[in-house]
Amino acid sequence: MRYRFTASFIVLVLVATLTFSIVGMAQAPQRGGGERGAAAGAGRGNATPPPGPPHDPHDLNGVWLQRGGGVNRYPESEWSAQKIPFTPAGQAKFLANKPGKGPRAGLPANGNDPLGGANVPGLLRSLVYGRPFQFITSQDKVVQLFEWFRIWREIWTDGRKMPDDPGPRLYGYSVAHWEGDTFVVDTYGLDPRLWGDEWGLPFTDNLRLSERWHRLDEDNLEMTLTFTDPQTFTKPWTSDVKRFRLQKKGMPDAEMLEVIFIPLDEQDFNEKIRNPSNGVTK
Amino acid sequence: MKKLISSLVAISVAMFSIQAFAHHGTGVAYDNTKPTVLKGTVTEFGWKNPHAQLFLDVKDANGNITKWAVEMNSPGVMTRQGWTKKEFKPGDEVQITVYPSKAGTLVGSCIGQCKAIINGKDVTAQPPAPGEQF
Repeated sequence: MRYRFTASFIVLVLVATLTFSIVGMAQAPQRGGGERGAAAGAGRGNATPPPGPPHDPHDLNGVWLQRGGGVNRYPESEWSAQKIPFTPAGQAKFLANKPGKGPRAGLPANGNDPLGGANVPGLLRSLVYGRPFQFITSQDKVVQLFEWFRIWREIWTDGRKMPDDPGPRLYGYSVAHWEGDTFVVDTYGLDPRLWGDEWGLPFTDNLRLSERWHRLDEDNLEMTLTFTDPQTFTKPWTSDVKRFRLQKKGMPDAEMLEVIFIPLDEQDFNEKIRNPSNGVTK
Repeated sequence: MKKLISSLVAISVAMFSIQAFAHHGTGVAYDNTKPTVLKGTVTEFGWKNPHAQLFLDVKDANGNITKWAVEMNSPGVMTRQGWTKKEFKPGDEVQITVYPSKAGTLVGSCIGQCKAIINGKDVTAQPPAPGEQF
């Protein structure tokens, strides 16, 4: 009896641990212990963010890092826990995109991810990818600096209208306004040769995005993104809430690094690592 | 008892696989169920994007030198883990845990919490931050 109880307890602990892992790295313990862990883990957060001190919700300034969130369970896109409402044409384009990540991952050497050739990720991948970015506000625009590829976008706040045909742009053309405490960013003119996430989400040059940013307090920022593209999706759909934590001075991600993929390095990597590991000779 | 052991093994494998998958999108190329400890001598270390590259001479069971390549985190993530471009130097004696290529080639990955000992000193990195990708 005692043995059975002990065995059951062990199984229970392992199942709980498994559940913990699936829910996401976001809920993994803070890095700590050891000289590297203590410094590196400072200020890292969980998927359920603890509240921070009050802050002006109209002030988005700061360096932000997305919190982990168990997207590995998502069926098709890093943007949503739901299946994407593809049109037949959208579905065909989705299937034609061959990612090296996500539930449809294949060998990267046999895929067609534009990033594999050191192309820039573009706006959507920069927004969903877990690397720091910074908002800097000026009189007539908000500038968003992305660490990934060291690229910025301008979000115009001077009341201008969206141009009729601003594209194609790898990071789109963005205008914004405030709705209460929510910063609403409309983007158009994105170049559809790039992907909408790491897993090969497609779109056309008719895609319109609506980002809704909300600073909850000093430490926490949230964003949802609505996709409207009748050629790719049967109806507009909205992403899950993406959560970001302010990276304060002294945190490892507070100072953005130079992270730029260049063809020289990419080719070297593909020849020495990617292709041999994939068993591919190219 | 057999059922219990089977359950434990299945759960452990699932835990490992899921965590490994979470750590590296191109994990599809590597066998994350076979952590393999390599002991060898550094011949080259490339501190480059998209991922750093470590090259080792490793003696096989017959005493022959085999040449291994190891895919590591990106330099940015490694920097935040406390590593530097001088972490490995040619001639360093290294023990490193890799997940070998499924293709059977002499390439392995050491992504996320890379376990490494350099010239007898444990320099194992902590895992990247939740949310941070590499």
